[in-house]
Amino acid sequence: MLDVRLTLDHCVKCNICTTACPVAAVTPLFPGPKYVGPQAERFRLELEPMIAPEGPEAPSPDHSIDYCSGCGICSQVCPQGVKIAEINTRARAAYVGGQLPLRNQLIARPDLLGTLGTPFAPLANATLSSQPLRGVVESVLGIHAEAPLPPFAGRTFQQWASRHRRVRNAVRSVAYFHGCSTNYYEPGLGALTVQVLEHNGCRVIVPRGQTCCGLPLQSNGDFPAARAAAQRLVNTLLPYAEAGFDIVATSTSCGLMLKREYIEILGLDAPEFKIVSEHMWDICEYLWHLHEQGELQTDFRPVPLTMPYHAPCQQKGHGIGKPALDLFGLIPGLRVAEMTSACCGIAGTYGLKKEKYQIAMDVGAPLFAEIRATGPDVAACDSETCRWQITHGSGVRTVHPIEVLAAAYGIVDL
Amino acid sequence: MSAGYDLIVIGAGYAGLMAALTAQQSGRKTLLIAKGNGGTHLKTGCIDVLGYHAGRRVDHALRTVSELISERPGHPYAATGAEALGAALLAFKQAMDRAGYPFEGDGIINLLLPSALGVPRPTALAPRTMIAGDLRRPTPIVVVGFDNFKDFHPALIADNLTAAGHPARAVTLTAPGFEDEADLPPMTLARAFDNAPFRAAFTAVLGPQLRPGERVALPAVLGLNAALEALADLEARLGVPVFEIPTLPPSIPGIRLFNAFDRLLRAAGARVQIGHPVVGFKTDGLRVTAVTGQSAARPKDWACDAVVLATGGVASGGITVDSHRVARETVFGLPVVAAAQPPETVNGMSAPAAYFERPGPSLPGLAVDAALRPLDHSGTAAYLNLYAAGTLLTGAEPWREKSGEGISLASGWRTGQC
Amino acid sequence: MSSLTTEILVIGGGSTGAGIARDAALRGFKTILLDRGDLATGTTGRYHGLLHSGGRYVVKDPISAKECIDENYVLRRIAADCIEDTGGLFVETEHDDPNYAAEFVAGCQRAGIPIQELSPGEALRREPRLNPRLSRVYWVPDATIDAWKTVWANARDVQAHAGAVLSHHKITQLIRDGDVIRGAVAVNARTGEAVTIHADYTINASGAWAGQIAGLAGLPVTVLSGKGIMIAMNHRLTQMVVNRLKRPADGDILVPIRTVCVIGTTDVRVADPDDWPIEEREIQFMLDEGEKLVPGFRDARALRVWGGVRPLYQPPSLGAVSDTRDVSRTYTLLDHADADGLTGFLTMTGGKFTTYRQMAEVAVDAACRHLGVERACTTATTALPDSEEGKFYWLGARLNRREQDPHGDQLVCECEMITRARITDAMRARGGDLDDIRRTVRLGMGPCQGGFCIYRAAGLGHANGISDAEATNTHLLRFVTERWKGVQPLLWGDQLRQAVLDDQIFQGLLDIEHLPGWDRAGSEGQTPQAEQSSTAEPPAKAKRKTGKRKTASGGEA
Repeated sequence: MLDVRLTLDHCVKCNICTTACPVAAVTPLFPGPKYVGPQAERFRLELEPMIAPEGPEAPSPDHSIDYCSGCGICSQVCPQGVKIAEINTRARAAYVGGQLPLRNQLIARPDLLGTLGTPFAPLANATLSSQPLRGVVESVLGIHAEAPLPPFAGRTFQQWASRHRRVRNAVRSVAYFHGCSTNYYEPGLGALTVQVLEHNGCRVIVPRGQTCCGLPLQSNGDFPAARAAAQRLVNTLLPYAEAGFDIVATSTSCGLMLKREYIEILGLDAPEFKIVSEHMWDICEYLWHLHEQGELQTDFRPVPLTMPYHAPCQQKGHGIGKPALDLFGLIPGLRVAEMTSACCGIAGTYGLKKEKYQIAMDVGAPLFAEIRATGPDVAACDSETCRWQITHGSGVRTVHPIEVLAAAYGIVDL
Repeated sequence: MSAGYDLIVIGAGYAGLMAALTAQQSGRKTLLIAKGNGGTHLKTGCIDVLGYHAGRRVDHALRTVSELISERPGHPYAATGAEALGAALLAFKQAMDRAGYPFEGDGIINLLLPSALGVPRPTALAPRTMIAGDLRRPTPIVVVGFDNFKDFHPALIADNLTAAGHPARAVTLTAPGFEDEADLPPMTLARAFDNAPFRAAFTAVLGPQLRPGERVALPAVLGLNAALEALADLEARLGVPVFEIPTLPPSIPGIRLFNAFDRLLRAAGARVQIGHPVVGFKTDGLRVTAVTGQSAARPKDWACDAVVLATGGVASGGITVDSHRVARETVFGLPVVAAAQPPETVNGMSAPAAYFERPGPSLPGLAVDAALRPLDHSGTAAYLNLYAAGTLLTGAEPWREKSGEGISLASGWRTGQC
Repeated sequence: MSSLTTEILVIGGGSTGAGIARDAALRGFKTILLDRGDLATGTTGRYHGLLHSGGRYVVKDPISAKECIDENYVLRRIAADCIEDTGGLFVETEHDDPNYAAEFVAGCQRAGIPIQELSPGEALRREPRLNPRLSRVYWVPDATIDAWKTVWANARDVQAHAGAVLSHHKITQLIRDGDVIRGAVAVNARTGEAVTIHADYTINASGAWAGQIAGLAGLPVTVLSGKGIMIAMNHRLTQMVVNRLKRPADGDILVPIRTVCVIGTTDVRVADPDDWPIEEREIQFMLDEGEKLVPGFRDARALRVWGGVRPLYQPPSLGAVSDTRDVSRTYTLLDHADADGLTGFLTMTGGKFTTYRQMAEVAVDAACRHLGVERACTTATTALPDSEEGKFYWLGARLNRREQDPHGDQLVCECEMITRARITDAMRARGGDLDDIRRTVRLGMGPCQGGFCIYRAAGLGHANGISDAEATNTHLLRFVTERWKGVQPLLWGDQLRQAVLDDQIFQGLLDIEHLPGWDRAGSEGQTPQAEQSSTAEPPAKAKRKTGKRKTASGGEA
């Protein structure tokens, strides 16, 4: 954490980050990442919440930081290596000071929501799709009535995994970190992931008792809870890392937490975090890596679709290029258009919030238009919240790249 | 089978963009990988070839470059050669035409455009959005600014232009629709100019204040994605030539230029990866076989047949100088031609002389061979397939002689051919 | 030649002079405060801003230590707006003599300085960047004080009590009438106009130049110049002042002052307070010492290096002084009536910023004695302008102000969060010289060192009719080229990158080298100046040699 703050020294005030910020582009409520990051940081007392001399009751000055969506694009375009997004995330935690409003506490705990909602899936889903009830939820909790909340699947991925018979004659073993979204909302994606990996000679282990990676807690500024979640998850995954297994994730945002953000943003530097990080792979990264070793099955059927691909902001943050594009290049007949618009706007839980929903939709508008303009059959995107937002904003069904591969392998029809 | 590239270009400034485009267009599978954005976003958005030489303003740029090359064999233009410069400028213009962001100027005789201080400033190529500002024409200028846009001062520009013999006056407006915003960011203003309703409102306020026979100068925010359309629309509505003047970073014209290169690169099938710092490399004997990127969990190698290093030098960490004044090139560890040490004391020199005339070279940089390959300590190419381009090359003071983009394009074009 | 009449003339607009003038004005004297340049451009404006608890001096200079703690409390009461209550630490590192701690504790007790021992763990929890090998830590009531703000608060009080502040006026002559000093003659540095100031009493508070001023009256006063350099680091590496727990030496204080922190300082005798170098080895030494306090210090961004000269009075009895560190830091009142038979004149010299108010009290008491009046000092209990509410400065103040109203005004200097209104107000009060404005509001003192804000501010000065185009060009060029002197010694790391970008902006983009009317032929030390008074009249153009004051670009942290 201290290292992150030190990078503010690299800032030469060029404002390149501000020109790339998708939120600053659509609202004057956010003065830009340079302002709330390396600039304001010089006015903050490190490690302490900003308490004015008027006393702790006086508000922290950092109002603007709340509008940072945490997309991370600023850090990706900075020519000097300022860890702007990381500074901003830390600053938000200081600003929040552990006092999350109820709404944020709820939406920052998708595993809790998932656990509560899954047994009552039909009722919960009815609520989610009922306009009047969503109106009530908006006024009571502050979750926008039109925000793209996914329906509960009713049966979790863990349940599927516990019934799934593992293959024999596998060439290697790999552990699968599925994350909350796959578990509670998209167990089918998890099943396809397992099948695609098995098709490629992997024995897939789904560690039991996986919990939330803590990203929404971190994004909403509750660092103590985020650290606790991180510790729990890493404890679950550590034995597999120590046994030498690679661990794959289908959510690029959650994967990035395990790869980097636990250490860089939450400041968790105990050895287990480093060990798990070193074994973490994004699923497309992993499959392309197999291909580079000559070990990927390339028995692809043609998939004659027009498919725009959006690399989520957090996928770019992995620094691995775009392995999904590389994989798509192997599939005959697939017409892929790489989208150039930067961000879909959802930024995890950001676009769910009443006061930020429209900002998120404005951020995503160029992407939605770009996707529609390709005349797509289906769109692809590695992050679940982005998929839901893109579908919501563009009307185009959006799938994970794994689903495209599964279709090419003949495992499923797209 | 391998995902390897024919060429990896490290750095996304003018040199890197030119090298990558040149290579990809000639059929080589190219990856442009960079830590972030840079040069394009921080400069004028014009292409300087040579503006000042031997204390005098340059009019015939290409000819003076030839003189420069014979006088200063250590200058980057000596390494690239004048012919490559000419070819690069032509290739650049053709590319920008295709990208829908055309540049004017012939690259031989300099244009003369006003700076944001009202200083007549020579440059070789300028985007069409700036060309009506050429001071070699006598048309009087009305400099138009916005009281809620802080990066442009029309009255000062007008006074200085007039003092330099180019009659000008100033008009200051409030940007329509932004009356409640005292601190208008340049991107917001640029996006506003992309929109016809804003342009209509703006010209409705400005039009009545124009005098016959004037041309209109604006800050360089004349649209982000639809600059040509914005220019044509304004000229049609106002009935006079309109041009923009580049001002403080971030450079909107530079961002347009970057976006144009990005479009061309993608259309040609190149990969562009911004936000990917390169921290190392792999070799096989004297050949570089991969560059190593700093990805989130572990370093990642990108296999390649050749590399162009265009990391920009000191400006963004391509070369670092630590507090012991030791300079290092940060990817390949190449030997650096050191900057002159600052004087031990600050006595003796008057401020202006000390500031403008510095003991050279003022910045650390790399020395290269005839093929633009950086040298090792023995004075030969460090690696057979490693090339260097752009501000990384030692021997120039581009900010003073106004040569940065020309050096970058020429060296980028040449190394993109290798 | 014009003339002014006053009761008390104070020569020297540093903390001592401003404090004396305020004290006198509050006692009802008609007072003029005068300085050859802008206020606080001598030693006061160049020090790191430490409001001493006195802990530094308890062993070596206990008188000075006691003065410090006494005045520390007083200033907290009267100058709260200028002070940030950071607290301070004395830390014992592996480089320090462990026997010193006991002397330190005993010395603090004798001087009445409250201290509190912290465990190393506790200290590192509060200041995680500190040297983890520290073995002993004591908390002390150090604080940091904005020297500039304090001097101007004193000066404004002078103006509020029917006094006058004459900056940019150089004394050329003391008016001597037999054995009486009756005032002085000064020349306005900007207009060249001379003015005679008739004063009942003249007080020489010109710090390191006190000897030169006393010399105008034929008095042999020796004030040694002890040069010290300091480096400002781009952001606060610690939140509290950090001192080394050892006998005071060089580079053993790290002071967080506003948005930066400052490592200091050295102490080298120089012959001329206006002409001395900043040496590379001094810079490297400061970095090494910084590394002992904060590991990784060398990798942090060094923003500016500058220096100042301490006035160290050498009494005739002392003889030759080899190490100026050994000269006492306490102050000296030279009553020239008693000592030299010259009435109407006294010199107050030596001392520290922390004790300025007490120095002022002693000086004005002496003046009262000589004027034969009895007027009590009220400065210890009367708050300075803007400090009436007793609220300390806090770091987030500017950020807070901006966040309250993000759209109502422009941030012209983004690094230091200075609005357009603040700058134009300052320009209307003080003219368009960007260096004056820099000192007043900290324009261009942040990381970009003016790269972005100087163009904006210059344009504002012109647009508001404060400077015409020629003057604006001159101000801008002078700012940039003078600033270069302070930038040059630090051309490494991040500041080198910034310098490259700033070159690209000023030369590459704006092309300041080719501004019209800039007389570069006068590069032998002649600088055409078109200074603008606050009345916004067209300036008289005066060619003037730049002063022999070849210091790094000055100014407080």
